[in-house]
This record gives sequence, C-alpha cells and structure tokens, in this order.
Amino acid sequence: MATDEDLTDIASRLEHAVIQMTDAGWGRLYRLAQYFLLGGTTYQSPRELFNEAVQRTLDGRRNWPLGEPFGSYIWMVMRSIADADRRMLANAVELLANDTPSANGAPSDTDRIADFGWKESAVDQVLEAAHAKKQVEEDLRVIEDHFKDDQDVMLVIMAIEDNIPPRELEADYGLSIKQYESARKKLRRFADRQFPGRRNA
Amino acid sequence: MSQIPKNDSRAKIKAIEQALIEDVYEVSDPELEKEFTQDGIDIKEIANSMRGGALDLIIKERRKSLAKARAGILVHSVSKSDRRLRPNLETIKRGLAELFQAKPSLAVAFRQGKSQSEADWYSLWDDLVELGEISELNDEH
Repeated sequence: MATDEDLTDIASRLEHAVIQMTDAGWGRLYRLAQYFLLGGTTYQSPRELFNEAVQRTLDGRRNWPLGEPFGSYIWMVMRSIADADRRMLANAVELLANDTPSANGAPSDTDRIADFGWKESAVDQVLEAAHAKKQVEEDLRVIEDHFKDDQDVMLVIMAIEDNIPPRELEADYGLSIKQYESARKKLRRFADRQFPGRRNA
Repeated sequence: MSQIPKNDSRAKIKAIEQALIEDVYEVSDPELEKEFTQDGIDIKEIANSMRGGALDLIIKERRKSLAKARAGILVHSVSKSDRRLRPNLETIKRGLAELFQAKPSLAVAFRQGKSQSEADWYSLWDDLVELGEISELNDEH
C-alpha cells in the first residue's frame, strides 16, 4: 500500500488520506469545523469550511508538509481560514467605525450604509461585518443564558475565559475535578447540538 | 486574575472554542460515534458526505491540471508546426498561381478581392499541403 512519502502530487496524497480516514476521524473533523464556526464566519456549514481547506491545499495556497497526518493538518487549516475570515470581518467593522464622517457618537448601521453604501459591495460588506459582530455576541449570550442556572458550568466558562486551572477552581470554589470534567462535557455537548453550522449542515 | 476584558466577546468565544477543541480530542472514537447517534446524526452519512466532497474537489483539480497540460501540448504542437519546412515565398506564390490556374475555384476562395500578406501566403500553402493539393517540399532547391 502506498505511503504518504510514495505519493508525490498533492491530489494523490489527499485522495489516499480521505479514503483511509475512519468514520470517527470524519466525525471529529466535523465537530472541529463546527467549533470554528462559533461566533460567525462567512462559511455557513462545517462542510463548506472543510471543502475550502481541501481546495486551498489542492491549489497550493496551503502547504501540507510530507509526513504530517491529514487530520491534524486539515483542522489547523480550517481554523486558520475561520480565524482569518473573522479578523477580516472584524477589521471591516473597525475600519467603518473609524472612517465614518459622522461626528456624533457611533454611527448606526443605516448611517454607515448611507455614507459608504454607494457601491453595492460596500453595502454587503457593512451588513456582513455588522452581522458577524452581532453573531459573536449572540453565540456567547446563547451559551451564558443556557447555563445561567448551572453554577458548575458557569464556573468552568469563567475558568476557560480567565485561564484558571481546575485545581484552583477546586481550592477556591469547591468544584471537584470530577464536577469540572462533567461541566466541561456539558458545555461541549451543548455546543455540539446548538451550533451545527449556520444553515442545516 | 481575568485574562480577557469583560466586554471582549470575541476573545471569550475564542477561549471557549479552544476548550472545545482540546476536549473533542479527549473523546474516544466509540464515545464520539455514540454522541453523534444521541444527536440523531448518522456519522456514516457525515463521513461519506465529507469524503465525497473532498474526492469531488480532487477530481475537479485533476481535470483542471489535465486541461492545462493539454493546452500546453497544443501550444507546443502549434509552435512546432510553424517551423515546418516550406519553400521560399516566391516559389510558394508561383506554385499557388499554377494551382489557381488549374483550379480557379481555390483562387476565388483565397482572394476575395483582398491583397494578401506573407502570412496569408504561408498559411494557404500549409493548408493546401495538408489538403494534399500540393506536395510538401515543392521547392526548386
């Protein structure tokens, strides 16, 4: 059977890797792609993000080093694509906010469109950027609202955001390691079900 | 102690994303498959769809490469055909004049009331050689 090193062209390496991947491997990649869509990107489903990562590998925009397992390579590419996409959208919001001629406080979306919307693409960009900003806040709100009465998960979210190690949570808040792990699993499983992609994936 | 400003939703979501990534790698394969079933999702359908999507892209990319390679070969063969052996221009003109005399319908199709460039003469010569109306090296030397 051919090994990664035996296949010289990228299409053959990819073909070999996708044929070899197990169902669980695909399932894990799918979940990862779901998480990368959290907070909104222009990619609408885990599959769309995955396909973009494959396409960029095929056309040479991304380099898949020889010997690196496909699974660990492709999820990094998906993450990088989603991050760059979010940054681009965030920069568009900042650019518009800084560049607006309106001197009286933050402009509304309607102001932005009125000032910059003489090109159709500019209108689309403003709407997309504003939507992405709202999407981040909305996704965070959905998570926090869902767990507002679950003290353990709220502690875990606080620990994740503030980089507090589990041992410290146990010492300061009495949350045992078992409770901590259970709460993290609750959070992950909620994300699995709540954020399957922006449209039916 | 807080690492992320309270109003930085983007950084908070990013931190949660990182935790989810770490955790999904801790889940065993059978457990992961069980979770998909619990969510009412067929993991085989997900696998087939993602695999199929990737294979479609691979096929498209191969077709593109093939088309590019074919175009390269075509350019190569055209430029090669431009270097084909021909008699000199005067011989071509004389040969064609004789041919037009023998077959006036070819002359009508060629001239159509226009003056001809050197390229037109060469091109017509090549065409007629290919059609077998003229033998290829009909040169005096």
